[in-house]
Amino acid sequence: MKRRVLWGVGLIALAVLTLRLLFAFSTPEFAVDQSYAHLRQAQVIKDTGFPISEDTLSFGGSGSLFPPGIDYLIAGLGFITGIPISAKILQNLFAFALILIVFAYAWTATRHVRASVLAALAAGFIPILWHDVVSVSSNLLGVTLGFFLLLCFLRVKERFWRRSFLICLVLLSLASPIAGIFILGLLVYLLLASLADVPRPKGEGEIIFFSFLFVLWLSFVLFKKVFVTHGLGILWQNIPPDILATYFTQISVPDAVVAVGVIPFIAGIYIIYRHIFKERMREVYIIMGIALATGGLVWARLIRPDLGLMILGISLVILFAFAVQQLFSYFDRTKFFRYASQTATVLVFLVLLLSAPLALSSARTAVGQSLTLSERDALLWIDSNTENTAVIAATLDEGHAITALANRANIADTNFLLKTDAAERLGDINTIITSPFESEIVPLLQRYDSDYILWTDRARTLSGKDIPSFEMDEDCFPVAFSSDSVKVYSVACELEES
Amino acid sequence: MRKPFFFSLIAAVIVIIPIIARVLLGQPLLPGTDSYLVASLFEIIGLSRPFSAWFAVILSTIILSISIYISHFAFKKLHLSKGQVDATIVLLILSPAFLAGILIPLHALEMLLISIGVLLIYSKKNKRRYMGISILIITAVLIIWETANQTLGFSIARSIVDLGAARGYGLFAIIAAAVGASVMWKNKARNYFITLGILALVLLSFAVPALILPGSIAVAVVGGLGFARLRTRKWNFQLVRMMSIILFACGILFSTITFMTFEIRSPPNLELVTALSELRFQLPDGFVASAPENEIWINYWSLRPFADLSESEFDALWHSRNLANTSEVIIFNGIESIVITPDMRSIIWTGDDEGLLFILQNSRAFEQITESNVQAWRFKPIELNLTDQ
Repeated sequence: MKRRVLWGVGLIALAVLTLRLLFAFSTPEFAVDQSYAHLRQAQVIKDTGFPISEDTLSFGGSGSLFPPGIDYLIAGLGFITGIPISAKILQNLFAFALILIVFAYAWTATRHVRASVLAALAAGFIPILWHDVVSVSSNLLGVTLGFFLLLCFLRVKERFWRRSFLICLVLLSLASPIAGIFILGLLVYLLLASLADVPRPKGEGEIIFFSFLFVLWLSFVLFKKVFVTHGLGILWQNIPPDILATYFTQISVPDAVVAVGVIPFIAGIYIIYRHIFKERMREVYIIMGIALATGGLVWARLIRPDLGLMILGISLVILFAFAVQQLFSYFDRTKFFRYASQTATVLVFLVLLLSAPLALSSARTAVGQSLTLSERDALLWIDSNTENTAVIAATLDEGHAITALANRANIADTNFLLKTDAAERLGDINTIITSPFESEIVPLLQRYDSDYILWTDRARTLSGKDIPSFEMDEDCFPVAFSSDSVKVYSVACELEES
Repeated sequence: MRKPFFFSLIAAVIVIIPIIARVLLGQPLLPGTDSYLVASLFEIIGLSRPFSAWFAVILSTIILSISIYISHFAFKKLHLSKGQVDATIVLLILSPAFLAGILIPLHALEMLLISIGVLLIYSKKNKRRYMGISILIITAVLIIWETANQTLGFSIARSIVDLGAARGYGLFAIIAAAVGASVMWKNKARNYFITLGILALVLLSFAVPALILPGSIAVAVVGGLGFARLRTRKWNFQLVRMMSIILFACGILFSTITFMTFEIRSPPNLELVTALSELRFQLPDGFVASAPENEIWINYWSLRPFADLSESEFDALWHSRNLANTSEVIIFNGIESIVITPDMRSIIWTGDDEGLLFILQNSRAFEQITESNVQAWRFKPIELNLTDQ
């Protein structure tokens, strides 16, 4: 391959990285939900070398279980840059690495420069991947390692790539729980390839069988307690039934097309169609396996749609490379071959025109939904002005931000595993935020020894009220902190037992 | 003869490990409830405590050990190679259903009967074959009788130890069996029915817990074939072969250790047993009401008869705040005392002032006998005033 092609791909990846970092650093904060849990874990790892195993702040004190890979990486880079910067850089570096992996896969499979570069460009602007621009989660790391695993699998006959596959398998299993999705994808590939009689290298089945055993075994070793406690319920992460539907929503085809990009979607579906009925390329079947497994899991509501769309998006972008290759090989057989360069330019514009605006809009939305400066000020005020034992009542999404920034206990957050009273706590939080009756709110606050209520835009959305009903009683709920739209109410009264 | 003896010795050691661990941790010797029934039987015939409990353990260990000895010969009759027989025996010894035989003497007996039955049924002499069939029919009757006392319903999580089941299969044994089944399926057409039969048995056992023991024997046989196949087939990558076999072995051991941990931590614990033993001197002589799980322990440790309540009586006693309703159930069943263990507070009630807990705190019809973790209350019908609610 010509060096200038590599430079070209490198430049595309760097441009995407720069753009992503611009968005990421446009706010000093992160998306609420899991991000702050990872930041806190990384900070503790940086300080002590070990993650938090018994969390005294989450759910008012509970056990904590998670694959620690991403947090160790953030902590490692955090020694140089500090934890928040490290988290932002690493998260976007994974997206950068994905572009290179997509290019490598497309090049290895097609040996077609234009197809591979176009796939790399499309991978840079998959809209759903830009939604994670200010998030910290193990998903993007897992997806990156997962597709590198598939790249190694492509050349599993060669000793170097076989060993790389095994090393990557170990890292992926330790880094993210989504390792199982990729192994399921390989099993689906094996089934499809056997049915379609696709030519396969010897020993491929052995590698897949071993990977299946390894991921299963490691999952049981790492999460034995979770499996024993929740059984098959681990698939739904012990998420309370009230909000399960919002976590595992059913997505429509138009939503999926918008999330993964129009051109890769159409091209990917076309390639799947061709290879089911006409052709039998192993390289395509591997991606088909992962796409079908992911699609099936999303359809069955066994994985969250955003994660599923992330994997589907990258799979379809790789299949897009095969479509481009076929398009150009068709041109080569017609008089159109003279217009190959122009066609490639048109495709570049089409990809940019149809995917980039969606991607940038997705990033802007993510930045808009991140923690605001007022919310941060309120949490830092709590940290420096309240007793260490204080428990803060807030919406579920803000639970991790409370433990990470305010260093205070929350009533609940989104780490539901091993929590026996998650549904009850969620219901109580909703009552505290939405109830018009103090006689309902005060006993619940007393139940959790909660001393303060954090009132933000998220609480407004949940309650459908601009001002909480309890604000009328200033003696019982005096405002302790106020900044723009964020208020912290202290709880000054108790319900006496008759 | 040396290998079967060696395996039966290994089986004896493995099944008794959790019991030894309980003794070393200072917990009561016997976990669960079934083993207490057997220990009680031995007391009836004259054995004193704690020998009755030890005798129950030793008897179960001997039965399980003998069953492994016989199984070795029985599996040979199935035309399995030496390697396959060894793998099958190892899988069987490490299977949670086999290990549970020490807690559930009926399972140990069923295990012995199945191994004898299979051995005889493959005999060349007709008389022995009929005897084998008869033994297997007796075993089937025992299993059906056991089924009558169990709650039925399909559940994967309730049937796989690694997913939290108290009794069930090991996940890796199931995977080994899947490999074995595929080997059987490919080899001979006559195996189709056997493979499908085993599949049906295992699937049925997910709904009928009493079938888990015969299912585990079938899984061990097919899993043994699978494991032996993994070892002997030609692999393209030796490193992958070695690691796969190690993973398999670790996975199977993992299920065994998980089950042993359950056994070691199973109730009753020392605290509960001490409290129930002390109640022997404090409770009145009549019937005791408590959670159904406590029946055998109250019989054994407190030496009091247990009041069996119907579903409606159960609700009226534990969940009602109406003293008149509660008293009616108590008097009708001749209940003289109520025992409340710490587990009951989370299983029966959700709050401290629900149902009977409210009555106990606020009515003079009950007198508290003990204030430890295990609370006992005496019912005083003389002072009962039905307007006192």
